[in-house]
Amino acid sequence: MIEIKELKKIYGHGKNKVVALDGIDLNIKPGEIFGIIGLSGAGKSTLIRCLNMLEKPTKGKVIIDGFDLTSLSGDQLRSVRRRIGMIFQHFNLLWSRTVADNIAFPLEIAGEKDKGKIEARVNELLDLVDLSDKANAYPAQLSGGQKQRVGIARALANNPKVLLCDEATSALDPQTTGSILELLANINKKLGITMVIITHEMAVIKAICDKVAVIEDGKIVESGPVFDLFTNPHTKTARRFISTINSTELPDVILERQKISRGHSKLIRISFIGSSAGEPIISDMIQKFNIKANILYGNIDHIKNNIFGTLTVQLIGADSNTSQALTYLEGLGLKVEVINVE
Amino acid sequence: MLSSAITQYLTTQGLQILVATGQTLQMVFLSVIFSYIFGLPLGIILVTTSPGHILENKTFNQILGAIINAARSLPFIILLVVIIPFTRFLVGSSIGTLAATVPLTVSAIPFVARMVETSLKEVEWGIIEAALAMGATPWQIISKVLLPESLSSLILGATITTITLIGYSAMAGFVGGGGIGDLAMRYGFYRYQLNILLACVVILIVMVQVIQMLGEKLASLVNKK
Repeated sequence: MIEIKELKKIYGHGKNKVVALDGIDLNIKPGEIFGIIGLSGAGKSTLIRCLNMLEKPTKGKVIIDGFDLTSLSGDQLRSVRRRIGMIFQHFNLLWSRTVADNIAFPLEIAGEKDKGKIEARVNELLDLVDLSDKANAYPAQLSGGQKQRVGIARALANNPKVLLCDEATSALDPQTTGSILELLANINKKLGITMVIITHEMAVIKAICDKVAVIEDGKIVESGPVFDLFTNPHTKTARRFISTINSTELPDVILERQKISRGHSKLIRISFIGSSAGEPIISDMIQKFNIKANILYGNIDHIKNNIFGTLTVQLIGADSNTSQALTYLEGLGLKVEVINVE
Repeated sequence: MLSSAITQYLTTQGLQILVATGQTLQMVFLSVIFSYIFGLPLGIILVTTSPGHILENKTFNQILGAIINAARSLPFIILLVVIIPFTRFLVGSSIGTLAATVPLTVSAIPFVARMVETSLKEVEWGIIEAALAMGATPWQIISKVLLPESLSSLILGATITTITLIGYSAMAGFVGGGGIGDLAMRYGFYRYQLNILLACVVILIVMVQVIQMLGEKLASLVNKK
C-alpha cells in the first residue's frame, strides 16, 4: 500500500544543511498498522509529512496505492491527498466550526455540494467515534480525547485507504490514550484502513501496531514485527525504548550484593517466548545440577496473544555446576544472558 | 424675545452639529468600506505569499510589503493634497464630503492590509496544514480556513480602523469635507466658541465609545475559541 524508496529530506544549504531523513526504505502492506518510533528530532515527523507531501522530499519516492506522490503536482496531488486521512497531535480542528461542520469540512473540500449527503455521512461518522451528542458543540467545549475523536472522524470522512497519525495521542493522558488507540484498532479492523503511526511512546506501538520501525538520526535502524522487536531487539535505541515500558534493569542494591558474593554465584537473565513460559524449567534445573536459584525479578507480557517475558535469577553453586545449568537452559532454546556486575 | 433668540441660536448650532455628525459618519463609513474592499485582498496576498505559506512568492511579497510601507509612511495631510487630481478624476470635484472620502480611503488601504495580515497570521499553521492534507486548494484555504478562523480578530481590526478614520476625518476640513472635527476647529478653536468645541468633543467621545463597544461585542460573539 505504501512504498518508500531511498527517501531523503535535506533542509537548508551549505553550512546550515540539516539532513532530516537520510535514505529511508519502508514497505507497508494493506491493512497493516505500522508504527514508527523515534526520539524528538529523529526525523519521524518529517517522515510522515513526506508521505502526503506536506514536506517535499529532496530525493526518493513515495508510492501510495499505486501513485508516485513525488511526481504529482497541483490538482493530481490534491485528489490523491483526499484519499489519505491524517490526524495530529494538537488535533488542528477549526475553532469556528461545530463538531459536525468540522467533520463535513473534508467533504466540502472534495466538492460535495449535496447537503443531505453530507449530513448523512457526518451522522455516520459521529456514530463511529461515539460523539453523536456533541454534534453542535464547538471544539473549545470538548476535552482532548473528544477533540481527537472529531479529528479521527474528519480524517475518515472521504473514505481514505490510508490514515496517517502524527503523535495522535501525545497530548492526551494515559487513560484517554488507551481509548483513542482502541478506537483506531477497531477502525482498522472494521474498515481495513492502512495506518501509519508516528510516536515516541513504546506503549502506543505495543498496544496496536503490527510492525514497527525505529528511526534515529534520519535513518531506520531496526524494523520488523512488534513482537520480534520486544523479544529480540538488535539496537541500543530499540532496547532503550523497550525499557521505558518493560524495565529489566536491576536495582543498584542487588548489583552491589552480587559484587560481594560473585565468587560462588552468577546473575543471569532468561528470556522466554510463547510455550516455554508454561514449563517448570527452573525447578528442573535446580534438581539436575545441584544448585540454588534465587529469583530476583520476573515479568511476563503479551503482544496480540503472544506471551513473552524475562526472569532474572541468581544461581548459587559451584562454577562448573552453574555453567552446566546455563548450557542446559540454552539447550532448551531460551535466550540466556549472564549479567556482568562490574 | 430673548428666549426665542437663544432658541434660534441653539437651533442653528444644533443643526450645524447634526449636519457635521452626518458628514463624519458618511466619510468614515464609506472610507471603511472602500478601504476594506482593497485592503482585505492585499492583506490576504501579503500573508499567503509570505515564506512557507500556501502561495509562497518571496520577491512579490517583498515588493508588495515595500509599497505598503511607503504608502503608510506618507503623512495624511500631504496625501490629502497630493492626490487632489486623482480625487477630481474619481468624484468630479476635489472639495466636499465625498471628495474627502478618497484620501481617507487611500490612506487607510495600506493600514487595513497590515491589520488583516496580523489577523490572518494568528491562524495556527496546524489548521492550514490539516486543510492541505485534505487536499484543499489555496482558495478553499483562504475562504474556508483563514477568513472564518480569524473573523473575530478581523472585526477588532476593523474597529481600530474605524476609530482611526474618525480621527483622520477631522483633517478633511482642509478639502471642505466638513464633519465634526472640522466644526470643532472652525467654531470651537478659531472663533473660540467653547460650547461648540465641547459639544463636538462629547459627540466624538460617544462615537468612539459606541464603535469600540459594538466591535468588541461582535468580535466576542463570533469567537468560538
